[in-house]
Amino acid sequence: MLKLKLCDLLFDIKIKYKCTLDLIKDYVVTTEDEADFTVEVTKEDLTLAAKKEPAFPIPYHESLCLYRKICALVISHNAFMMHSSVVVHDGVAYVFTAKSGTGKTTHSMLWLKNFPGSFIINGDKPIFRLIDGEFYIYGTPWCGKEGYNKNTRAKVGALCFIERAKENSILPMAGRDVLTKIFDQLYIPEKKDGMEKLLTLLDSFLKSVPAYKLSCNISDEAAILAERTMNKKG
Amino acid sequence: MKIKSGFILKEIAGENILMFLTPELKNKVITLNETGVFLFNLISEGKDRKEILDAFLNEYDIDEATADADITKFISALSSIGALEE
Repeated sequence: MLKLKLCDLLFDIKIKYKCTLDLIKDYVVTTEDEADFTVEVTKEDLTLAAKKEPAFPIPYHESLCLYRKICALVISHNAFMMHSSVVVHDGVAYVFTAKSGTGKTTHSMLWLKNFPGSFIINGDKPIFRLIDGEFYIYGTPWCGKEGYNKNTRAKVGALCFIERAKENSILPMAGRDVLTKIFDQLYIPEKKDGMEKLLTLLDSFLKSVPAYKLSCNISDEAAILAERTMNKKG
Repeated sequence: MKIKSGFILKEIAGENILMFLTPELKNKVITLNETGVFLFNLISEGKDRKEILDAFLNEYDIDEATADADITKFISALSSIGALEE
């Protein structure tokens, strides 16, 4: 059995396909420590997944099923998955979220260009975890087709919803507005206790992480404006 | 009239969030205002239309026609997302 370390939790995992192993290899660890969870992707899981989305090959489904199971399990350890592109700059994580294709990755790349030393900790499906009253965001192997990720964690500084616009502007976002948009980007657990736990975590998240709405174009100015507004250290 | 599936109604970040437990309604997450919570609780308790109207009029300073219209609107909204068992 392989041991996978993700969001400071240890998983014993059982998989079949080499492409899954290739995907997760940077997060595989050798340790005698006891795993927090055991996860197996079964033949039944794959058959069901292939039925729902026949366009993807079965080996690819294995990696998706694996992550879905992991996301369902980690909720019990105060962690949740949110579709987003996250940049770490000066030791703080800035979370960009929006519907696919809006420009999260493009905007993230503008940060990398304008703020030397910054990096994308996860470009697609990071895990957020509440530890000792602080939210951390983690790199995971599930990070988008470009593969932007770093196997590390960072404290979350701000949440930023992106939308395309001709001119750049950024405003704080009220909790109510965040809630109308955020659920589309979250992995929502299937069972009641998981859902309740997610809501409790979101409550803490929204109370401790400032949220912004960034309307922007593709320019250095967009990144500079966003950073100047959201970086409380500067 | 009752709610089709199990649900969770919880306040987070000052908003009342309603989530349903069946897979078909999984992504239908709704925010309710105070009146919405009041009406939703009555419906989930299985109260009929008359009971809901009476309770609504009792609780809020509102005329019957407006109350009735508000209730109809709310029920339609729930029905349109498939949350009600007709």
